[in-house]
This record gives sequence, structure tokens and C-alpha cells, in this order.
Amino acid sequence: MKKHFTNTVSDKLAIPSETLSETPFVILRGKRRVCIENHRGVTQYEDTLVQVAVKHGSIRIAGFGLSIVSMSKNTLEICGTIRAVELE
Amino acid sequence: MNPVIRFLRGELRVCISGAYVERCFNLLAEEGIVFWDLCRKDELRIELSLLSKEKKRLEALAIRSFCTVEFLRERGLLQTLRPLRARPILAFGAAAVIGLTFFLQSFVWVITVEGEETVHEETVLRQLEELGICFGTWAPSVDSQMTRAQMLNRVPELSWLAVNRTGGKLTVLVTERSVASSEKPPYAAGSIVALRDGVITDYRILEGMRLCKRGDAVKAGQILVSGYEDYGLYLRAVCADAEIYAQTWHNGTVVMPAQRTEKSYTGREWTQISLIVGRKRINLCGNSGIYTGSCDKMIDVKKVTLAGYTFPVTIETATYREYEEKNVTVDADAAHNALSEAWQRQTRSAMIAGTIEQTEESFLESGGLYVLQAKSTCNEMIARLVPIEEPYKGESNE
Repeated sequence: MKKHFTNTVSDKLAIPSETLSETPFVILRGKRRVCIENHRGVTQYEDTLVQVAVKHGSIRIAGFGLSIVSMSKNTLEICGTIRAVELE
Repeated sequence: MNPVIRFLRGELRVCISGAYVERCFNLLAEEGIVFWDLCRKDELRIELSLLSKEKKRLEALAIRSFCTVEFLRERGLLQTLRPLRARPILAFGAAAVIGLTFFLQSFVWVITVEGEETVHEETVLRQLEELGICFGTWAPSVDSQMTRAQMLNRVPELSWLAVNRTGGKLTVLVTERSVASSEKPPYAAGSIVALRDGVITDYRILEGMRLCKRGDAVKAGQILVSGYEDYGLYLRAVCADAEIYAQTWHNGTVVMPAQRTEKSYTGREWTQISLIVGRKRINLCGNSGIYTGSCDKMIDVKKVTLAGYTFPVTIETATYREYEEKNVTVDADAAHNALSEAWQRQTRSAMIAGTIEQTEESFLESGGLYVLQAKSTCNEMIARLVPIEEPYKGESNE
């Protein structure tokens, strides 16, 4: 019900849904940089694979030379050669 | 975060080791600790950078996540300035120099005047000083507009003035009034009269009616060229213009005393060296007292300059030579020559233009004086313009 309420409010007021709920927001800038908002922490961090926990699942970033450029409570930025972004 | 901000706030590079290092930096993110440049070294170690002030919190969170923290390096503004703690005088001196550099620029140290041609630079500087603009004036108090208005009133020869300030140097740009040459005659109507008695030798009439000819003997004040031109049916009043040369005679007497006072140097000399900063004089060497005897004083001034910039500092060297006054008799020949030269100068100054053709002199000594009686024959320009007070306007037919 809460999910239905927040979705209704965001639709009616034309507000992006990720600001009211914890919907993950992924911004891919070319093949070199990806920014994830509304994450719940990094579960796996390797040179070729970064797995990030989000609401209702996780996001896997596969590639080469992956490194976390910056990380805060809500925003995570990864750079490197990105080969795939998978949602689980 | 901006690299400059990181440097100013202080940056710490750490290495976190543990079985599950991801938990450690997840905790850092949850606690709101910003970190960057995260780099994995191997399966058990990562390196990251964070602000120096988060050091204690990092240690606590590392313990919670069963990891160890190793501090690799720290950099920032405070870390860079930390060595100055052992050298307080250097730090104080650097701060003092920087402060003085800004503070001293708030005063006027040098005033230069540019653009003057006939108006002397000292005139402008003197007037500025009366307005309160001189060495050591508080520069922000100089109002360019007000200074211009007041200076143009004080120095009428100027038509424009601007005051520009660059640090401690004040540049005053001036433009002088240009006086247009007038081609109008000085009077509406005028005649040429003789300046002194003489015999006409040459003339050149440009305007007016000639009333004399070569060989005429004329007296002082006699009209030579009339301002009324007679055209038969009417008279026209003009401003006469002519050059008239005549042979004239100048008589006079020149005297000088037979004895004069002469300096005799005793050989005693001394030097005084002073340092002048602005208008303040500092005596470096020598007696600054006023000498009550007779002496010559020679002053040598050296200004301090660097790369063409003149500082308001001068070194003045004054050399004093003591002398005694003695009465000596003037040699007769020397007196005669001096009196002749004086007579020649006097005669030339009395002429508008011309030459001295011949001089007859009589030289004698009488009553302690040398007397020269001279009579010179000259060929000089004797034309002088006088106005006609009320020009003739012609008779009415009524």
C-alpha cells in the first residue's frame, strides 16, 4: 500500500519516483562510467566484477579494471571498462 | 570532491585489510563518511582516500567490520604548514612582508607629472601639495574628479588634468591650453611713429600711407606711416604696418668702483652627507649646524633608481669651502673691457632690432670710480605702432 501511495503521489505531482521510494537509479555514461543511486552497499568488489545490493535484488557490473571512484550513503560511482550491467 | 577542497581540508590515504573489506566501506558509506579513489590491492586489501578528520571514525568502523587499518600518508594545508612551527620567525617575517606589501601600497610615495610643456613640473607639484596630495598621502583619499576641478582653477594654463594611481605611484597627466595665434592687427586703426631721433636709412611699408623717405631726419614721436590712406574721394583708416630703419645715436655713461671685494679661499673644506626620504632629512655624516662664517656650498644630489623607477630617496652630499673677503684694486684694462661690454649690452637691449656700427669711448678714473663715457652710432628699427584714438569715419553729406 505504501508503494502504491508513493507511486500515485509521484505520478500526480510529476516527481521522479526514485526520490520518494528507494528505487535504484542507474546512469551509464558510455562504457567507462556508471553511477548507481539508492544502493544498499557493495556485496562483491573485484577487478572484473562489482555487485551492488539494491532494493529487491542486486546489480552486477562486469568488465575490466573496475574501481569505485566515490561512494556515499546513496550514490556509488564506478569507472573502468564496462562490459555488462545485469539486474538480478 | 574538488581536489582543492580536499587539500585545504586534509586528505588521508589508508589501507584496509580484512576477510570482508566490502563490509567496511559499506559501513563507511552508511555512516556518511565520504571516500574516494577506492583501489583493490588484492583479495584481502583495499586502499582508499578520505578526509583527515574521519580518522577516528574509520578506526571504530574498521573494528566493527573485523578489519585493520593502516595509514599510508596524509597531505593537506595544515600538514604543509606544520614545518613552519619550528621556524616562527620565518612565518612571521613572511606574513609581515605580505602585509606590508598591501599596506604600503595604500600610501603615495612617488608623484610624476607627464604632458607638461611650458608649465613647470614644480608648479603642478606645489599646487598638489596645497591640496594635500604629496609624499605619504593616504592614497584612497585622492579624489580624481575633485583634484582635476581644483587644479584647473589653480593653474589656468592647464586645460585638462587626470590623476592615475598605480600602487604607491601617482601619475598626473596634464594638457596645456594652446593659445591660437591671432592674425588680427592689435588696433582697428594705428600709425607708425619714430621711437627715437634719427635719419631714415631704409623702410618697408606693408600697410598705411608713407610720410617719410630715405635720408629724412625724424624726431621721436614723429608720424612716419599714417593710418589714414587717402584714396582721393575718401579716407580709409587702417592699422599701419611697416619696418623703418634709421641711423641713431646713443649716449651714456657707465661706472664701476675701482676697488671690489674678492673671495680668498682659506683651504678649509668639509663635507656633510644626508639621506632624504620623502621630505625627511637624516644627517649621516658631518656637522649639521649652521656655519656663521663665509663659505661656498656645493650640493650633489643622487637619486636612488632601479630599472628606471625613481624612489623617493636621495643622497645629498654638501661640500663647504671657507673663504675670506678681501678688497682688491681692479685692474684698469679689465675695468675698461668690462665697462665696454656693459655699454654694448645696454645699447642692444634699448633697440628693437639693429646693429651698433661705431662707438666712441672715453675712459677715466675719478673719485674711486672707473667711468666710461660712450657714444654709439647704430642702425636700428625705430618704427613703433600707436593707436589712433578715434578713427576718422568720414564726413556726412547731410
